[in-house]
Amino acid sequence: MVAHGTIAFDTLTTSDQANTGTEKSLDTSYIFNGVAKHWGRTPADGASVHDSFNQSTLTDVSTGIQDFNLTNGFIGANNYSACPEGGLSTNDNVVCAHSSSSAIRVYAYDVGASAYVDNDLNNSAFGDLA
Amino acid sequence: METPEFQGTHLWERLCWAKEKLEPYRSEYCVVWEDPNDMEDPAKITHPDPNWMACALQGGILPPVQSYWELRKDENKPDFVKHTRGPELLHNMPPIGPMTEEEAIEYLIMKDIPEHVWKDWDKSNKPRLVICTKSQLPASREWRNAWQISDELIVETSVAA
Repeated sequence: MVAHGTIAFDTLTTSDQANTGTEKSLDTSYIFNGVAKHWGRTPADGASVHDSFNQSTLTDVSTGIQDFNLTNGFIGANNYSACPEGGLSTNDNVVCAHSSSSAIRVYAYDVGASAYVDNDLNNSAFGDLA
Repeated sequence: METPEFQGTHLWERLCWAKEKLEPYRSEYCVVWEDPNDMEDPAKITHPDPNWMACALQGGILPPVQSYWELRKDENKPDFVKHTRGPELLHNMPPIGPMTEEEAIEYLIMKDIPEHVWKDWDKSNKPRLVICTKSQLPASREWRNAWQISDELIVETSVAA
């Protein structure tokens, strides 16, 4: 077994014997495109980072609003998709907006209270890197 | 642990290496700042990421902060569509060596806080930007949206200048 090194290939193929028995192939570029290029998890006060990948800072903007700033940004502001998640109750909506290729702003909003609220927030992002 | 020769390696792949090999470093410091263009907004607090801090202290992983300034300049051009200088500025640029914690915080200020905030941070009636410890922040977030940098702040210029 090789402990370190590179395996270069363009296509993954499975016979899929266990399920359909029909051979299936996947271009490896699909795998790369489907990998999260950034993720981060923060507590409600926005004052620290539980854990993360490809993130340089977290900015606590105000109640319920946090900016995830990336180390390796995306190729453009319109070339990635961010997926925020969080909330303490069914009233909480978590949405995000990105105005640049390297900063993602996540909002947590309590629909019942009609106000932004501090929440644990998670975010991941997919797309082409710069 | 020795950092591999990373010049020419995609920055994202270097971060993969660092995530696997380096222990996160949780700094006690944060940066409190106010944007003069948004005076109605409360003060913002920027916290260093522990995995990024590990990269900064290790050295040989991150590009110089000037690379990010160049990317920002490109992105601010009216005809900007996509970044084309990522390889030149991030992946092929010689990575910078190990930083102290203080140098790392200064790097992050210049990377993630708008230039108009940090460039003339001490030129207004009160500082626009302060490096402090997390313990110096208000203990309660009840009035978070009213947080401001104190008018009576005494800046330790022997450290900050």
